[in-house]
Amino acid sequence: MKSPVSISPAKLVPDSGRGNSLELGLDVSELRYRRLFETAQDGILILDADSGKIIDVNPFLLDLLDYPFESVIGLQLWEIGLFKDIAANQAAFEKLQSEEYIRYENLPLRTKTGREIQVEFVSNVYFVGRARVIQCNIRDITARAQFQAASKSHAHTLQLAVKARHEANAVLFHELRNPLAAISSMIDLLDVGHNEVRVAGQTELPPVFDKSALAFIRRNVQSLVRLVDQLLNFTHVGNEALGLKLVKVDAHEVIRLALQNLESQQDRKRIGIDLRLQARHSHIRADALKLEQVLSNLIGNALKFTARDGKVSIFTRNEPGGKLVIEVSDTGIGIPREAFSRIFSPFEQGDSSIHSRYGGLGLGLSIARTLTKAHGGSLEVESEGRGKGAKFTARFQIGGSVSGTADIPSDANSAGFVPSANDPILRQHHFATTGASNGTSPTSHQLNPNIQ
Amino acid sequence: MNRNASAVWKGTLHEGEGTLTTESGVLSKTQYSYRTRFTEGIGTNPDELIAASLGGCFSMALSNELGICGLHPKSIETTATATLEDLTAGWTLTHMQLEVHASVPDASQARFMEAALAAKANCPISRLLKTTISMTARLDR
Repeated sequence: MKSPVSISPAKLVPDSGRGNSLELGLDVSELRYRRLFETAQDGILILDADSGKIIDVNPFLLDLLDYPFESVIGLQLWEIGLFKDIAANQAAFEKLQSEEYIRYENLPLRTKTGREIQVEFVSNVYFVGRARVIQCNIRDITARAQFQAASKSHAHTLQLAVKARHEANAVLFHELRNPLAAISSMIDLLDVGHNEVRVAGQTELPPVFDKSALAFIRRNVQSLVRLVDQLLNFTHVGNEALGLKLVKVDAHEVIRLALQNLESQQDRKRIGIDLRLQARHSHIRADALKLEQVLSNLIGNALKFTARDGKVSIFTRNEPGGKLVIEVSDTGIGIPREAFSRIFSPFEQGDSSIHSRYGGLGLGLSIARTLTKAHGGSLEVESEGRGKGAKFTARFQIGGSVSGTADIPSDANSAGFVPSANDPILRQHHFATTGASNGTSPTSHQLNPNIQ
Repeated sequence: MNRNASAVWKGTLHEGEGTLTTESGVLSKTQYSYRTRFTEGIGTNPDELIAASLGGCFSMALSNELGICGLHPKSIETTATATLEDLTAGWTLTHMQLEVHASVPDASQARFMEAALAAKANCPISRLLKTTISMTARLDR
């Protein structure tokens, strides 16, 4: 905004003659207010109070309206786009006549060229000599309105984020509480069993030690550890502190290990596994532990959301462009199309009923996609809808050596050995292949994987 | 499937009284009042009926869960306690407690506990009640 014009009367008023001094004083005053009018950074309109017609307008408003001065003089306010029609203009004019003051916080103004501007409109009536005039001050508040709208939208986003966080916390606490409650109940059960009142005179036998109770507690403790691990992983993924140790990895071996780790879950629900590792080139440059996490999350999810006696299929294949494609599909509960966009977000599941029925933090897919992307890959979902199963497809660039090349090998398996998934050395070395060859051909298993 | 019960209340909260009648006729114009609910008196109250509902439903659900595992309970005795508290928001059922004593031949403690937890989580009345349900369980084999 420009500084107001400052004229010192003392400098302008000459010493000679009282009449001249008065005239000059008036000139100075006229000049001062004229300059205020002309340099104001708000639009100013002067209207005839009786007719409501414009009798003066400052340059700022002319610029705002895109009108030349001559074309504005004599017009009504609605004719320059300040009110939407004659009736609205008339109502404002009548209010001004009766109250001598009106104010509109946010009035839409349409310029001559059709541009929409948000303005604040303040108008009051005063006398100039005997004539009543109306002064209208019009401030362009488009930027302010945009800022307010953005602030409102931001506040709404924050509210949603806070709500989502509360919901996520509720899920998290629930998931933490379940195994704790189970452990607590088992301790109570053991406590009751060991403190039974014995009948006097009868031989007291020590209570039978039931190892199943220990296994039960261990399972629930492991469940807690897994939850905390998942949270830690999520935090690391969120912090982008992944520290990927990229080496040449046989993805087929990682799939087998992930399956082996999920075997008890598979057995419990008697889910058939269709394992077809048909990719000729299965070596990718990856962090083996993180890749295992991706595959464990995908296969674990498939098992979790598939009913007893259902089927989970794991296929691999190569695609043009040097890609290894890993598909994990199931005959489970399916995913509605509208949930596709959010299932990869943290603490999200297909719908609100999923958590109450299946539990879980809703972090698995989020972690899986983030880790897949960190490997330069992609992870997509497909489902025909509820009850029709789901398919997750991960794509990775095949080949790539420890030194960083990503060429497609003539025979991927010839570039590495295929050790047992149980091999402790294998685990220790993150499945890193070292160049030994065993000439293994692509593997195919039907419904009964022979996990080595 | 719908089940229904009807209630008739006459008079003010403190001085009045009501009757409850269930579709099966087991409750037939059974008396309840402020005194039967908050102090002492002859009659029932809604809170003990909730407790009865949960206890009954849970016991059936536990029997079902054990049956799925091939276990056949000789008996399941459940005491359900509904805790009613005067909170800022008003009188509230804040907590349900289940005490289970079951006789299940051949059941390991782990199998029994898994079945009990599943019954607690999944029985229809548990799912209806949005409140904390705790449980202590005892197993005789």
